[in-house]
Amino acid sequence: MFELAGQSLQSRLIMGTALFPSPQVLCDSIKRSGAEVVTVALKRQQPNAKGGQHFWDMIKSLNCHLLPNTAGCRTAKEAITLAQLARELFGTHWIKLEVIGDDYNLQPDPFELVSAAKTLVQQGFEVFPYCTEDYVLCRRLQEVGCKILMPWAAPIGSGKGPVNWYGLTSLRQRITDVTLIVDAGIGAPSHACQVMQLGYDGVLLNSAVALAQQPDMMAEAFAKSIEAGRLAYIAGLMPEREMASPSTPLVDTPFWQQQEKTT
Amino acid sequence: MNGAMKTAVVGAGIMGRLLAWRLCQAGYAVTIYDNNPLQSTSACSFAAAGMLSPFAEVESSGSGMVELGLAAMPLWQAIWQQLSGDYARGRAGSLLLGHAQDASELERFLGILYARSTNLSVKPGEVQLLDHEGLAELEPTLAGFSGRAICFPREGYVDPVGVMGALQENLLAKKVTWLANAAVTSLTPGRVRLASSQHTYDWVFDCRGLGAKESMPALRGVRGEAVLLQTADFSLARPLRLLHPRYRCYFVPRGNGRYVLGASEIESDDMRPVTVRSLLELLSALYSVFPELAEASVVSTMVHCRPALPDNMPRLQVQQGLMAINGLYRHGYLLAPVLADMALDLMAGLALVPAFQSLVVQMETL
Repeated sequence: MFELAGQSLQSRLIMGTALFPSPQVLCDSIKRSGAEVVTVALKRQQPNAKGGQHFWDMIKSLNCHLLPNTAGCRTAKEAITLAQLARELFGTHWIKLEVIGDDYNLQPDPFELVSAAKTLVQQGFEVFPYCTEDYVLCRRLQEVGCKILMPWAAPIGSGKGPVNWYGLTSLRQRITDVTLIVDAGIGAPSHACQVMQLGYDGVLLNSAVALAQQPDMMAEAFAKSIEAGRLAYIAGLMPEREMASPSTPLVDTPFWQQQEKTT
Repeated sequence: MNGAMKTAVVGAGIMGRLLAWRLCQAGYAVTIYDNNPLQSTSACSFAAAGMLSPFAEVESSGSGMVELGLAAMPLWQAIWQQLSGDYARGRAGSLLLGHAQDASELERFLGILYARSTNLSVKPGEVQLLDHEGLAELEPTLAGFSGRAICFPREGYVDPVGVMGALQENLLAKKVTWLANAAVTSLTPGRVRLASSQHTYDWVFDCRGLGAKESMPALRGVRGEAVLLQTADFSLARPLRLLHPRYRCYFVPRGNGRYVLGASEIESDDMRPVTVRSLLELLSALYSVFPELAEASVVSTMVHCRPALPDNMPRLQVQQGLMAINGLYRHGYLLAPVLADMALDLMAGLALVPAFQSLVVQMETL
């Protein structure tokens, strides 16, 4: 069981809803992923106001918790306004806060992000900030009241997997009192498994599933890898060793030829 | 022999017009109902790009799209021979471009193309990877492009506005009854109802696109925005698409120095004018390939919503006396001839190509 912002969930996978080849494939993939939370962009399509009612009805039919996002916002002000609109439209105080600082790799703007997070937390939102793996940024977000942080593994859509392994590892080791979800940059189920093994609480995905040749099958692959990673984390990994060390004396080698320990 | 058979085609977009034209050719009596004035250009079909792209469209559709599209190519050739009129068209192939830093997008595209096309319908030579020399030779305007390119030699394009006009002229010349400004209230097997009258036919064809929402509840609109450009001293013989991690963008010749740049893809049936963001995305994508077009004129912008079904594939919903053809989505021009032929075959009780059978939904006649 996974507690996320007051909800009990079975799945630790959060799915994005963009870039799928068709709504049908989107629905099939979400179902097969087992995800219970989906994130949806509001900037360009909205029910009622922007004529996207049909799309929303379809998302609703999935019976998942809705996590509206502020993708496409470049300033704190823009993101705050969109978050307020999302709360009104969907009756949820959850918001995936994205404030983008660079249009090409969609890197978060840490300064605007903290400022928007502070205001939104004060206004009663449950803020899921999309951030980098920078420790100090994560601390600042925690200080302004975020109880969930979503560091990237790599730039959105890059599919590179964790590019700063040290950063993600030490972030999880040092920040143990909030929920950490890896958001963005995951390309393969093995990447998702790796970050779950580090003790991350969940993974948010979109492109890696939507752009696969068979998205629904890839969704299941991710569901399994995330589960495997979580189990491995709880089970406790055997520490790596720098060299092979036999656990029993070598029976095929006479004792006088066995190498002496160098230590 | 069919002279006595009376048919009605409701909706005069590309599907309705092409179907009416084929029905005339087959000897049926045809009445067209359209809610627009005769000279109107407000149908979604006028805002299309008119690309005939069985391969390059595979990304936004399910499996079966490549086969459907390939079946359409010879049909379009036949239409060009039979449909008189002055409209731009070409079948010198199309190009798919990717900037050097987006090379992985081309690889992903090819992966999807091969995964979603069945029975080896992608034959050797249909997908040609071009090097710089090959690209420059094929399309000299692109000699300076430093990215990667794929050519699909069998693809082509047609000018939608020209074809829509030519079809209308041909239909009117054939003495088809064209009821413009017709407010159709309901369609039932063999019957078209207007506010104050009703008319009976042997067959009624519902080609209303998004106008048929109440009889096909799964229909949705997908907003598209495009730009019409005019330029001199520039020539491009074939349509091109630019692959980008986030924007999808195409550029298609329209003849007489005109080109269409499109199109956004937004899950919405909003018809408000083009947004700043979409315009910026489209124009900057174009500029990144053709900086020399900075001085081209923006003649107009176009906004429309494509009628689409959940799997983004077309559907023929059939019961005796009534056939609805809808969900043509981004592929109206490419697929209309195939769907028109399927409609005629279904009407005549002929067997369809098995691969296309999945597009047909038989409705129970009440």
